[in-house]
Amino acid sequence: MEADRSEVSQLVLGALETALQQEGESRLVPQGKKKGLLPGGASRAKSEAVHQCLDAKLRLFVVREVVEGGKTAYFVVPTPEGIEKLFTQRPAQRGELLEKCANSYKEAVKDVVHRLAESELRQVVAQQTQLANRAAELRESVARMASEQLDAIRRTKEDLDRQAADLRQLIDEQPKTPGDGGDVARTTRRIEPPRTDGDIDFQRDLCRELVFAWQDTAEPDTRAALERVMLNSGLAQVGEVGAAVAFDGREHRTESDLLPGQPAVVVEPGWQYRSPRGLLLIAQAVVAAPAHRTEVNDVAHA
Amino acid sequence: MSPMLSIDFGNSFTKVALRPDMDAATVPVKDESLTWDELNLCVPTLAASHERGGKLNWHYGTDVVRLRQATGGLKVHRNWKPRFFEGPAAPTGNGVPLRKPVAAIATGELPPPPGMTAEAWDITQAELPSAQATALWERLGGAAGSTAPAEGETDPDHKQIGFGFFRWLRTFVDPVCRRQIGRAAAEIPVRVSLPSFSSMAGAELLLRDILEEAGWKLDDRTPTLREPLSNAIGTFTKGANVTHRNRTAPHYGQMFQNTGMLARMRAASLGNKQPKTAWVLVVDVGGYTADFAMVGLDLEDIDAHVEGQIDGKPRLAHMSKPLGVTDLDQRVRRAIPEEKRAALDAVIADPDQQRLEAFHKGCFGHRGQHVLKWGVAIGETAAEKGNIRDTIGRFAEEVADDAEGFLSVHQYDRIDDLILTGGGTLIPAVRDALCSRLNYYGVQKVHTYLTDGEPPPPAVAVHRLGYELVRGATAIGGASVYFDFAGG
Repeated sequence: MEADRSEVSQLVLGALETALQQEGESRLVPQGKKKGLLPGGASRAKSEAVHQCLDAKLRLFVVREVVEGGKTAYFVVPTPEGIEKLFTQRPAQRGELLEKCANSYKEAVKDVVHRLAESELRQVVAQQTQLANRAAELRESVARMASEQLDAIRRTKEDLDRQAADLRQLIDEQPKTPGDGGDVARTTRRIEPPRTDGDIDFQRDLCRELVFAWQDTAEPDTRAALERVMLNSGLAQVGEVGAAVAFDGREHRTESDLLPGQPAVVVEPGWQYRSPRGLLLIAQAVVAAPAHRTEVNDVAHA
Repeated sequence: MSPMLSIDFGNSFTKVALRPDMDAATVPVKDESLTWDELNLCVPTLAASHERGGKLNWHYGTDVVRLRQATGGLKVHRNWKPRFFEGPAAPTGNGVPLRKPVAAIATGELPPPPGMTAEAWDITQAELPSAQATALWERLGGAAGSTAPAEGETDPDHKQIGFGFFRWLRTFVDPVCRRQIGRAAAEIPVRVSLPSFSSMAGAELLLRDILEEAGWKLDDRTPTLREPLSNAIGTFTKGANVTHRNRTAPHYGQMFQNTGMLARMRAASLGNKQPKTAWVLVVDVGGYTADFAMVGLDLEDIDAHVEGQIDGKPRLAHMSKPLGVTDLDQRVRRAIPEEKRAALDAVIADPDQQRLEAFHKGCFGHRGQHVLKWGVAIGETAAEKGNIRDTIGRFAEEVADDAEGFLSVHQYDRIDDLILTGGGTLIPAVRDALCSRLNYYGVQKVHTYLTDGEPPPPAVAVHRLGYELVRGATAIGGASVYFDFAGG
């Protein structure tokens, strides 16, 4: 049955760590009450760990054999190879290990740490370079793809423009009669709502002028014709003639003696325009006190 | 969350803007009941007392507009804002203060300020006291449509009106704040932008007291701001608020990205041979006055409080001239045939100013003509159109003269950014005259409203402002995160 490798490794590293913290030689295996770098007791992992610590090929320790009471005891000192193994295997504890190590090992440990750091730095730089190269390749590849697609779109657009021009020419060459399909196709295209400040200003100014013209005429026919244009231009009527409302000076104007909230009747509608900017009241609705109220007032005044 | 409110306290209209958080864009507070303005953001700066059944009730803002103008027992108080800036009032016999010093100039008790002469204004000596009083009234911030108070007219208590108005304004703004950020207006710090008159310390303190008493929570750092500075910051940032370094500093790179400010700040910080100050001239041509204000922004220390001088030139200066669009209306009226004047008078006198606005756009614009009603076309013939164009041209040159006069008084010799605001600067001739004349001072960018179809002013780089920014820049700028770190 084979020993657990990781347990063996932990035992060896533990022995190296403990040895580093002691000045001079350390006993490897405990004997009686004398402590060793490895724990007491017998196990397959421990005997494999002893074997590795004494292995001349691995060179983890310098070993001195002493015969004590008929048994062989091993006294060991960590080698630079052993120190390197410890610091390589436990990168997160390097600072702590360096701090705890005995003075006699300080220089050797610093050398090892320096060497390891240099080696790791080289690896990181190599990885960085590799990533930068890969990023440049990807950028170039994306730019090339985008450029190709852009060219394709441009070519398609040119084709479509040419086709549109040909079709327009074809339509223009057809004999024209009022109300034929060609005219309808052109005049019924969807009118986009105004978006730019210039367009919004234009529509607002136009709506105002229509309302002014409507206000300035008393002819019912002219008003009716204008109302059609006004409604189609985006204006909305405020109040229906004859509708009962609560007087509010923000929306209504009146010659009657009305207070806010008092009942009133719409005599002439108002007009408002909702633009992408907000709601503009161009003309207030004209209202009057309800007839019965006016009569009551007349009586009261008389 | 660090929200901020900003009030642009105007003579005719007050505008409020809300910054929901440190890194959120500032937006004007809008309400669809404010329909006399297309953007729904202008709150009328009105108060009215209404006596009914022996009891006096007060109404403010839009509540005043709900009342019929001719309501019996109704007294509407307009243009009360300038009274905060008039200085101490002199008591009269009955203990009610007179508007000083305007009324005193009108009655000849006080001499007019230097420069206000009959020759300078091309009027008769008899007309002078009234014109001087009106001009001073406008200089103090009188609104479009207002006139200087008549002799013996008494004031209601403007402090009481102010308190009532600002308390009403808080309740008006409150639902919007709750809807947008879930907090009451009274819990959000507020800044108020005020005119940059030299003697406004007393008014400023009084308004701060009034605002606090009315339940507003004033911003600890910069509760009051100068209008031109708020306007400039609003114009430059377009309402953008961006911070970095864990919200400990504004990210000027992103806030000023639409202007050349950032490049100039970088150059200044690198010690390049660049000017260390950005001089911003704000020209506001309104209904009755042309206001000129210069703000000097220290490019090496952009957060620095705007006060004192740089190279002997004040970092904040202001001048107001009695020259506005109303004046141009009268000049054009004189330039048109007599038979058309009555129709124009009717349009000018209409309380709803929309017809007048349409007239301005058509007649003062590139088209140069406008039909007032059937059979009355202003600018109908080539000769009439020429007369009108000359009149507008002369007016535009006068505005440009005044601008140069202002620069000369304070010995300013450089303008980096020119901000054109107010209805008068929408007149192409005025805009072009200002740009051509002030280009000499090295204007790097003109910030103005220009629709896509309009030709830009000659020989200058134009930063087109959106419609909302032209009308709300001061309110929007006042809430800027810039002032969380900078002095006002």
